[in-house]
Amino acid sequence: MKILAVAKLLVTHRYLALALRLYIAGLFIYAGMYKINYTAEFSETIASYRMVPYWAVNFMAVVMPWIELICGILLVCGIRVRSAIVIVGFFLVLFTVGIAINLLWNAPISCGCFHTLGDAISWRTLVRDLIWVAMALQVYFYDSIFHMEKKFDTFIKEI
Amino acid sequence: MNEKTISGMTGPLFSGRRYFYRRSICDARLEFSQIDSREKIIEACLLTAIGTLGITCGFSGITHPDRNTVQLVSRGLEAGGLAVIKKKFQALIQRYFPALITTPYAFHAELRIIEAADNSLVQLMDTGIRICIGWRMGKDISGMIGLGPKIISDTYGDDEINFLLNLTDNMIFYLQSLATRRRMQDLKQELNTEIFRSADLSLAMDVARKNLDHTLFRLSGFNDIFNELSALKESTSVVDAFLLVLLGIFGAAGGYIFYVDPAMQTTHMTCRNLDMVEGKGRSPEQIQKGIAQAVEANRVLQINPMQAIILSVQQMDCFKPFLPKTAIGIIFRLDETAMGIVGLDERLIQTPYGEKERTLFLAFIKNFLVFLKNSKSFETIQILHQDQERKNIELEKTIQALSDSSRTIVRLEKAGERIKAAITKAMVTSRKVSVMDMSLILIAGIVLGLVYNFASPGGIKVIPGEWLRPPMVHVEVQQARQLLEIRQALFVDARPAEFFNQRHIAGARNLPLSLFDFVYMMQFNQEDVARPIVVYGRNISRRYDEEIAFRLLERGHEQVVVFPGGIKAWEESGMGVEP
Repeated sequence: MKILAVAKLLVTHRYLALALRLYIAGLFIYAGMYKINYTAEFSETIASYRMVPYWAVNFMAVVMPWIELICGILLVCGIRVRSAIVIVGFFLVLFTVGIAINLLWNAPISCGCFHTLGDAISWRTLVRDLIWVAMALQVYFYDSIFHMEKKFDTFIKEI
Repeated sequence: MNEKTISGMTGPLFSGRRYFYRRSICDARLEFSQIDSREKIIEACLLTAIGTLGITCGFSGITHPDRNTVQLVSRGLEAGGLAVIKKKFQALIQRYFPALITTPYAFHAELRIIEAADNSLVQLMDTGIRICIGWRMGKDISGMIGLGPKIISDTYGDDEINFLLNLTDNMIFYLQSLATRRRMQDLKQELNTEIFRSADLSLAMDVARKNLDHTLFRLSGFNDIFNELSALKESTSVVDAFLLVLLGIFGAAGGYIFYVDPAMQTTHMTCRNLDMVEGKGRSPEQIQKGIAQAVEANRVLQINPMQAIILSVQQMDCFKPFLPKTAIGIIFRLDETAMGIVGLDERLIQTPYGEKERTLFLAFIKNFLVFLKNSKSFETIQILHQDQERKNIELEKTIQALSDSSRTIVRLEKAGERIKAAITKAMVTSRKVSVMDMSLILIAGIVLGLVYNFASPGGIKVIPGEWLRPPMVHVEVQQARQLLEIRQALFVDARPAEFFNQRHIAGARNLPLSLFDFVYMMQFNQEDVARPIVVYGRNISRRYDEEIAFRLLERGHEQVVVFPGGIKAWEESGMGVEP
C-alpha cells in the first residue's frame, strides 16, 4: 500500500507534471518547426495514413505544424495549458489511432512524426505514442506550477 | 346796666368847645397824615384825646391781621392793668363790642361807657377805664381805645363823645390811608421787583436766543453732515464730502483731511485751498510714516478708537513737515489701525475759533467718525462679500470637479469591476479547458500556416489540383479489361512504390508521383503515345491516378484514362494481380 501511495504521489506530483509538460512542449515545438519547412513531404505522410480526405490533406499539412508549434510554446510558457494540452492530446490520440489502424492494415508507411523519411511504423511507435498520450493526461490533471499567466494574474491583483 | 352808645357826629357845631374839638381833630389829622406807623397813629390819637379832654389815663390798641398779636400804647395806666388789657384784648373787644364782628360795614366805630360787671372775666372798671371805643377797619383789623376819668369830671358830655368818635373815625381813616399807602408802596416794590425780573428775563431770553442760535447752527451742521455723508459708501468719498461740509459750516478759507487705514490699505489726503504737501516731494507713504512716528513720539496723541482731540499749537507743529499749517486741527482715531488728522484754516469772517466752535468742531468730528466707521464697515462687508462670492465660485468649481471626479470614480469602479470580473473569469478560464482558447489556437495555427505557406517558395496547393483541371476520362473494370485485351493498353500504378510492391495489377508499371519525372524518363519515354494507358491507384487521402493521368496527358499521350476501381475492382472481376 505504501508503495502504491508513493507511486501515486509520484505520478500525481506537480513537478512531474511540469517536467512532462516541458517535455511534450519541446517535442511538439521540435516536430512543428521541422515540418513547417517540409510541407509537401508532411502532406505525403498524412496521405499515407489514408485517414484524411484527399481535399483536406494539404490543408492539414499546412496548418498542423503551426498548431503544434503554438501549443508547444503555450505549454512552455504556461499559458492556457489545459486548452493547449487538450489539443496536443487530441493530436497524439489521432496519431496513435492512425498508427494503430495502419499497423492493422499492414501499411508500409513511415511514422512521419519528426522526419518525413523516418522509420516505418511499428507497434513500438504505437506504444511510444500511447506513452505520450498518458503524459498528456498527467499534465492535464496535475499541472499547476510555473504558469506565466498566474504571474500576470497576481500582478493584476496587486494593482 | 347803664350803657350809652352814640354813633357818628351829632350835636351843635358852632360853640367854642366844639371849635376847640374841631381844631384838635384838624391838628390830629395833620399829625396822622405825617405818621407812617399804625402804632404811632393810635398813640397820636390817644394823646390827642387825653390832651384835648384832660383825661388822666387811657390806652389804645390795634390787632394785627392775624388777630394773634396786639399793639398797645397807654398813658397813666398801671402796669398790672395794662398787662391784663393786653392779654385779654380780643376778649374785651368781643365782650364790649360784639356787633363789630357782625357789622356789614367795612369801617365802623362804637362807643361804650364802662360800668362794673359782676360776671365779666375782665373788668375794665378795675383798671380805671371809664369809656371805651371799639372800632373796626375791614375784616381783619380791629381796635379799641379806653379812656379813664377826666381830671375835672368823671362823666363825658355829648360833645366829648362826639369828639372822641370823630377822632376815632379820623384815626381809622388815616390808618386806612396808611394801609393804602403801604399797600401802594408794596405794589410799587413789587412792580420794581417785576421790572427787575423782566429785565432779567429779557437778558435770559437774549442768552437763550443765542443758545438757540448756536443749537440751530449746531443742528444745521449736523443736518448738513448727515445729508452729505449718509448717501456715501466709500470712506474716501466720506472724507472728501466731510471736508467740504466743514468748510461750509465754519466758513473756513481752506482745510485738509489726512486719513490712513493700513488694514484696508487706504491712504487718502484731501486738501482745499491749501498747499499740497505732496508738492514738497513727499509721497503719501512717506507722509503716513512721518505722521505715525510723530504720533508714537507724543503720548497724548495716542487716543482710543472713536475718539478725537483738538491739537494744540505745539502738537500741530509736530505735523508741520508733512501737513499744511492750519488755525485749528484735530487728530482722530477710527479703530486700532485707522486714524487721521483734520485741519481748518482761518475763518473768512476773520473771527477766531472760539471755545464753542472748538467744541462743535469736535462734535462734528465724532459724528464724522460714525459715518466713517459705517463706510469702513460697508467696505469691509463688500470685501467679505466679494471674497465670499469668489469662494462660492471656487466652491462651485470644486463641487463640479468633485462631481466629475465622483462620476469618473464610479466609471473607473465599474471599469475596475469589469476588469476584475474579466480577470477572474480569465483566471478561472485559464484553469479550465476553454473552447474559445482552443478555437483561438486553431485559428492562429490556420492563419499562420496559410500565410507562411503562401509566402514560402516551398508552399503547396491547399486546394486539390484535380478541382482546378478538366475531369479525366474514367473507365469501369469492363472497359479497362477491353482496353487491356483488345488494345493492349498499358496499366500504370500511380501509388508509391511500397504499395506497388505489396500488390498490383498484373503487368502494371509503377509510376509514383514523387518520382514521376525520373521514372517516366527511364521507363515511359519510349512508349507510343497512341497506346492507351489505364492509370489506377487512389485512396481516401490521395488520388494518385488523377495526377499521373494529367501529367501523362501533358507528356503527349493521347489515350489516358483513369480506372478508379483500382486493384480491388480488378481483383473482384477475376483478373490477375501480382504478387
